[in-house]
Amino acid sequence: MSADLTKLIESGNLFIGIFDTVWMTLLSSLIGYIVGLPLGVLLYATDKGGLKPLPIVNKILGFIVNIFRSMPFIILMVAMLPVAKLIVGTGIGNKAMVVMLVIASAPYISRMVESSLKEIDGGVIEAAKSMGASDFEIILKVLLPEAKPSLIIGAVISTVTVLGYCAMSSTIGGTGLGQIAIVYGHNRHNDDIIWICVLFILIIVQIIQEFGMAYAKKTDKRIRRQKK
Amino acid sequence: MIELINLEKTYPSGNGKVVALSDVNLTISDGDVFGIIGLSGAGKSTLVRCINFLEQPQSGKVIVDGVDLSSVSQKELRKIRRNIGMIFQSFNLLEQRTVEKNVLFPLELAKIPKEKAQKRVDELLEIVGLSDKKKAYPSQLSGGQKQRVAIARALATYPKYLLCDEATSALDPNTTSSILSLLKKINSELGVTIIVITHEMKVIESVCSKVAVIDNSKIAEVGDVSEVFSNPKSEIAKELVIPDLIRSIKNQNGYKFRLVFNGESSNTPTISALALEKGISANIIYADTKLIDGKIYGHLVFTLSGGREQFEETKKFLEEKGVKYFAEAE
Ligand SMILES: Nc1ncnc2c1ncn2[C@@H]1O[C@H](COP(=O)(O)OP(=O)(O)OP(=O)(O)O)[C@@H](O)[C@H]1O
Ligand SMILES: [Mg+2]
Repeated sequence: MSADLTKLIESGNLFIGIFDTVWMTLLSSLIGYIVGLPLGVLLYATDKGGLKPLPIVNKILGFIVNIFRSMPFIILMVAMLPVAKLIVGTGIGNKAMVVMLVIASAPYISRMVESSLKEIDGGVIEAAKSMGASDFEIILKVLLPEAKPSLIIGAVISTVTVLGYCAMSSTIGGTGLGQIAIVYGHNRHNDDIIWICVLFILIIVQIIQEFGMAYAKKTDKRIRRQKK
Repeated sequence: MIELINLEKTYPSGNGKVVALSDVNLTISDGDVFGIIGLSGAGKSTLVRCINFLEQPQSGKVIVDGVDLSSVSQKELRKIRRNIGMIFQSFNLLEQRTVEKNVLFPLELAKIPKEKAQKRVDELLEIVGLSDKKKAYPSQLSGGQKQRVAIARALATYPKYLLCDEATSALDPNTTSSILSLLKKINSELGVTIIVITHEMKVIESVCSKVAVIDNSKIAEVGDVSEVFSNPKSEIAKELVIPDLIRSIKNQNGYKFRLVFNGESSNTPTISALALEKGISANIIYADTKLIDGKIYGHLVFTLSGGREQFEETKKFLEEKGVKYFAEAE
């Protein structure tokens, strides 16, 4: 064990790093969903064959989302620094990183949401309409509840992606496991620190995966279960 | 009463268009069980979806109880839809809700207070015979049970009309007949006017009082089921009513008879009487008859081996017996 690693553990900095990664990931994903979920619904609803086909709105939204989605995160991050400054007053530190993570993840999330909603059978929507449901009621009472298991799986995938972005954000000043791996591990040639970071990232990903997937499965009533 | 006046509906398709409905005129009276039959692609679903304006016709009018659906606001239309229940071939239940919550759904939309809604749900599940499946999810039900839930759901807001688009097409014959008798009961006991879409004449026969035959986007024939069934006029109706018959007739030469039984008393076995009284033996080439409450329904086709004389004699015999028949000689 390298001296740097001992120091990291003893000073508690490693655990602060883990904590930073976790909160940044969760907070960014949450805000990402607050923006991305309605955006995904809008993408779905305005598409042709959707609840309210609006081709022009759909094209414009789709175009913007695609721009953000196709940009490598590392470049998007630098490009969006001024935006972060505008929103949280600073271009550095974790607050600014969260802004960046949200900007990167919301478009991604909106596509995930859109594809979950697309799995819903049109017949169910038709049935709701025949019962006098409004578009808004269809979204709230049919689409989102029916797509819930799929939305949860999407959230798991999105959160893991955000975790990856979060680690990358250390290249422009974010803290967390990514920063520890680069600053203490890579720059100072401490392989053990790199591997420790890899291990913890892996554990975090596993926890998100396992809990998320189990919850998705538990909530999905389409699965026939044997009565206990 | 539902009136469809000069309905026209086309869908864009590639660079051209598909005509789904053209010049459709129909009147569906209250209390009827009205059947609409046609082959696949004839326009049945389009027609039924025009009735609750899930599909808007390009021209023509849909008038429900005197209200022209094209003249009302979206909000009013949604209210009118609560008066027109609908069930589907694929049931279209909410998979993530229990049976009970599925039936509750339209009551939620109608903003019925919880307690009252719950009472209504229990009542409906009683009607469709699924009280013991309240807490089950659709994935745990059979097709027939799913359709029962769908029926309960469609009836929740006391609709005056019930649209059924191929409601039994995904079910086996036994389940089909149990669903059909449920529909009959709903019509006679609750007074709901039912519109039944199907491609099976059997379904029409067993529940409908009136039938419209749709072919290639047009109404080919409308009338009482007994009338259309015993004496189909349009080619398409003939084909639907008596598909095997048409073929068997076409393959037979000589003197042919088609007898139509439409609820006559069956204690006069016509064919054996013909043999016994007249000494004429008939070669039965097609028979599709059934006994319901001691009355006979269906068709029977036979040929004669004798000549012209026998042919005339048989005709006279049938007339005397009061049997409805169609005779052909070639
Ligand atoms: N949304 C649509 N877009 C384009 N064409 C359509 C659409 N819906 C129906 N059609 C066409 O309109 C015609 C009538 O279709 P419809 O679904 O009403 O037939 P159907 O009698 O219900 O047939 P089936 O027994 O197969 O259900 C068909 O040619 C079909 O391809
Ligand atoms: Mg159809």
